Amino acid sequence: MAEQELNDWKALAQSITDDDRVRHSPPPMVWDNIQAAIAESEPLPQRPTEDGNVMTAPVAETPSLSVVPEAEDEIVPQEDVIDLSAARERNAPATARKTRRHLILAGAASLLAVVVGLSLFNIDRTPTETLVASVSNETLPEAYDGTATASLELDDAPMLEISFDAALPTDEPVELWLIKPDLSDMRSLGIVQPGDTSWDWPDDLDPNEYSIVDLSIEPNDGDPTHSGRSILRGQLTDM
Amino acid sequence: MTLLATSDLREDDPSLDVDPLESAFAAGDDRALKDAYDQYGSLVYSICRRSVDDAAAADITQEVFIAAWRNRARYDATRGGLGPWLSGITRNKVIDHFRSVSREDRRVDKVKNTPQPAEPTQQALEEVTLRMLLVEALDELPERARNVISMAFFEDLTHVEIAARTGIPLGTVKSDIRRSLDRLRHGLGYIHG
Repeated sequence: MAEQELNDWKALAQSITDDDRVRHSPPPMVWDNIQAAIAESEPLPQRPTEDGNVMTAPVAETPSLSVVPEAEDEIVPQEDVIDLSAARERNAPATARKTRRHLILAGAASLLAVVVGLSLFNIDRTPTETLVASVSNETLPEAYDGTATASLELDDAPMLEISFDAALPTDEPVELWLIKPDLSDMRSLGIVQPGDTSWDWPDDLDPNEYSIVDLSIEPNDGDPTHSGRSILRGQLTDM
Repeated sequence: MTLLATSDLREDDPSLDVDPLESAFAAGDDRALKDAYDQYGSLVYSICRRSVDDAAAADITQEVFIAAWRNRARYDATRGGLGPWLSGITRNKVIDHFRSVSREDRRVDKVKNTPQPAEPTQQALEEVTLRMLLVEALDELPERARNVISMAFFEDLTHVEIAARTGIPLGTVKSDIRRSLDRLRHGLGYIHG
């Protein structure tokens, strides 16, 4: 055996630090997203059933969570970037806290753009259609260990329904918002209570306009405006 | 002693050294992706965490496995293990990440004052990756071989000294080290040398 090779291995081994031994487990959503992305690009092959017939993969009747496309595949015009702090400036007087939030959101801007790019809006809508928001946390600055799907039935008394696949954080209040994509306005539907899954859609809001559903962590600090700490967000779009 | 010699011979048979996961992955077996993720997900994620925050690390880990699966036909087990192959993809994705962040910084000048993690050099990334892969490869050695190689690496003991300290015959010490280095080369292949 070459003495030199053994010495090279020794040098590398002796340079191992404690940090090199640390392993972190990726959050569970990583595997979920990988699976979803693979399933989308490679539909399951048709498999013969026991009686020899071909069985096709079941087609979901209702839309489920869609995966945010890979950033590099998505071309999003810069003006689509959501910067909640901009809306906040219009809605609220300046506060010392704003600067910090502004930076957090600006830092996430490239990622948020992808979420906006998820869906295009069709204004030719008949009154009974359902709007579906796919809400994913993977690009937002605060952690929520799951995903959620929202739907809105456009009938006489529209209800926004959201199903969560994991518990919301409980240490700080979580607030539900409806936001215009151009951020010119937003409306709070209030603090989400444990077990809440449906909300009356405000009569005076057009779902075509307030199409972004957003959940944010709102500390009890007396400031009624959006904190900028979104944990879930999605855009209502035609089913 | 006879048993030991028999097992040594078997370990010398290269056909017994093929990792079933590596061949299943290359063949596109649909369970192999999950197995690969279970085995290497935390390695990939932990390599990312050395350079980026946990949210970016999660995104990159996801991209790595999706890219790896789509490009699985390019994986060649004779050039190294799945771990180093995935680590090579990880390194490239981490570099891409910093490039896109810096593009975004230029576009959105608002974030100028936001502290961003420093971009690691390609060499620094490679060194971290190699050391982390070596940790994995050493952990995966059979116990006796791992003890022997650890004495050679970390205590600078010679073969004779290891044999004397452990009571393992000198020939066995030598073959343990030789075989261990073969495995380390595989465990760091694609990236090492």
